[in-house]
Amino acid sequence: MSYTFHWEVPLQNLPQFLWGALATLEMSGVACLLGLLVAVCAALARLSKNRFLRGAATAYVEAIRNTPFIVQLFYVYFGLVVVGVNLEAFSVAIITLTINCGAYSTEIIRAGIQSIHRGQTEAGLSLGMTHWQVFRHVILMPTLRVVWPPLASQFIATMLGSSVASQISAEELTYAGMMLESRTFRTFEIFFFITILYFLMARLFSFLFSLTGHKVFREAWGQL
Amino acid sequence: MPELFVAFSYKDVLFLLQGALVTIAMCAMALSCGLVVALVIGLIRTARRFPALRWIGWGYVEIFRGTPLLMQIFIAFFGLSILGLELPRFVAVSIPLILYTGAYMGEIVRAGVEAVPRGQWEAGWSLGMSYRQLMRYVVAPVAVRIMIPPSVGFLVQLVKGTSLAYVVGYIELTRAGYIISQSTYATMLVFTLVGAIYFGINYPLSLASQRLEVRLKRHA
Amino acid sequence: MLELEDVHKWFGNLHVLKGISMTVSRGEVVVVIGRSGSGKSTILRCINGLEPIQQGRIMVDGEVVDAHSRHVRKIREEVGFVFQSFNLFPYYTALENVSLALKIVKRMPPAEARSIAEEMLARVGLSDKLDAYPDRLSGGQQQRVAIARALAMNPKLMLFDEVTSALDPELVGEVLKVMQDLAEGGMTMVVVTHEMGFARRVADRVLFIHEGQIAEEGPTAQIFAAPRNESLRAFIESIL
Repeated sequence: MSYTFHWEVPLQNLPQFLWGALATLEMSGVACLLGLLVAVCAALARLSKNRFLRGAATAYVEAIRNTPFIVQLFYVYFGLVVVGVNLEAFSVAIITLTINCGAYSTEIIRAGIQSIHRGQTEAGLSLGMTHWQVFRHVILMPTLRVVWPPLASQFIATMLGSSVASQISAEELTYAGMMLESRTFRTFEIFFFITILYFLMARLFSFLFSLTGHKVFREAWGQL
Repeated sequence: MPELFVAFSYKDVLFLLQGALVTIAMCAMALSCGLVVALVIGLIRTARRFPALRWIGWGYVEIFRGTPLLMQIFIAFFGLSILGLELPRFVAVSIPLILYTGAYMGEIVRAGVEAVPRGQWEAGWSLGMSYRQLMRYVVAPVAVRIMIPPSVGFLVQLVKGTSLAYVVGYIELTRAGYIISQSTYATMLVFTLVGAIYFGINYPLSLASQRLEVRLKRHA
Repeated sequence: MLELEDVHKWFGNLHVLKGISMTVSRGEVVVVIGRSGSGKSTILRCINGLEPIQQGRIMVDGEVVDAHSRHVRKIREEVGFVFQSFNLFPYYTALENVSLALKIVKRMPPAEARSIAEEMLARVGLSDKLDAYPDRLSGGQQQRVAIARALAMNPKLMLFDEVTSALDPELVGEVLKVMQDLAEGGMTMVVVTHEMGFARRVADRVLFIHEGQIAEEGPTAQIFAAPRNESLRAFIESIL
């Protein structure tokens, strides 16, 4: 092995990487929140009695879940250019990431809603609860408790997946690495370091989600 | 839009299909070697007598599931060239996919083995079976059936993952689409086709996975 | 044949078996009774090494049972165990369930294993169900296959862990009949059960386990007619 490692390269450029990490967090954070909104709507659509709504939501979910993110990214990026809209790469990434996260989250939420037995709703109504009370206590809280772990996993996966946005030159962590790499050619050290950053971020968020889950739901909890 | 049909011909479609074949080949490679890794990882994670092995397996899975696949491909690809290994590009790109498969399928193997009811183990032990005999004749038939639906689901993930070989310039379906779009300017059409091909490969798999899961629940 | 010397077992901090000592002679049928949680099933599971003991000694035909050793496998070939939840192998037919261990553990040629399996299944009255999968059999039939499976190994000792507790009442009789036939044929058996009728008809001796200890033991007739122990008396009354 005639390669000499230059570990000081990534270390000296730590500030860039931290900015990149913040950008990644911003990108994925916004995408996850918006994606959640999309997911709730789509999940309800998938469970609705309206065949058109159900079909549209299912088509959305299946189209996104069966195609690669990078292809979706190119599609949106070039598609916007073709229709004459000029957005910066970062925003395009957020939009695509939202669409992506939304589709996966839809399934999680749908499963969560369906896991609440219909009998429970009936029990609540029989006890004299109003529809709103039933929704809040019998459906909403248990559903949140059920979807929290898989949703947290999905958000972390989205954060990891955001690294692909670097391919359309969106300014996040991986892109910061690519920029540095083109200047210094220390490919291995740089990306090894960045990978460690991603890993730490993922662990940190896994821990935070787990912690929040414990505090909010206050029950015996499984692993994330 | 006039530019949709500029310079786009059947030759480009052929090129795309070639890319699709490469994608499928990468999946086959990753799956066949990755399953071996997965078996090892999955089994050592259920080893009750050797906690050290369990931690190693756990660490492996955490690393490959807790980092972006894109980074794994970069590091493996450039790491290999640093080590001075001159591997054919197909192999170099397949290696990170093999390790990735090993981690995800390893989890599936572990879950499958752990899902076998303890009573089955005890029945086998009581009949005087050894660990190896137990695994082969008692655990495997049950565990494999449990593992099939999530494995098919992972296959979909793997097909999508091969698209990231794009970033090291390897010509699979996505890169093929990009190349064509650059030369013909029929971008939207090309990427719609690319998406459709991926969909055509993955959707049947997704459906199969869901159906298998239902069938498994019915027989349990 | 079977000897337990001052056996102690803990599950974590819970002291489950507190000094169990007992002997079973060849051909004897011993029934173990007691409340849930008294430790009776645990005794059985320690005998064939499914659970390790922390103190004391268990000897089967002169050989020490050490749950952590490789040697326990050999002992298990000679000790048959029938579970409360049958634990039949779901993807094998009744015949295959019975012949599997013969082929892979005793390394019998397939033809010989098959004929022994057929014989065993005939003994438990299931000759017409050889090719049935467990999910097609009733609980009582499954349990009889389980007994045949254990019997096929030609054991010196058979252990029965509440084998009728999971069965619908009308299916219990067919299993008890098989066990009675076995006993009359001279098999050495240790049976944990709630079926007092069976105990009275078939057992040579009865052990009453209370809170991890043998509170009383003796010949069957005496135990049921004149129980000395307070808890035993209460227990018998609650059952009968």
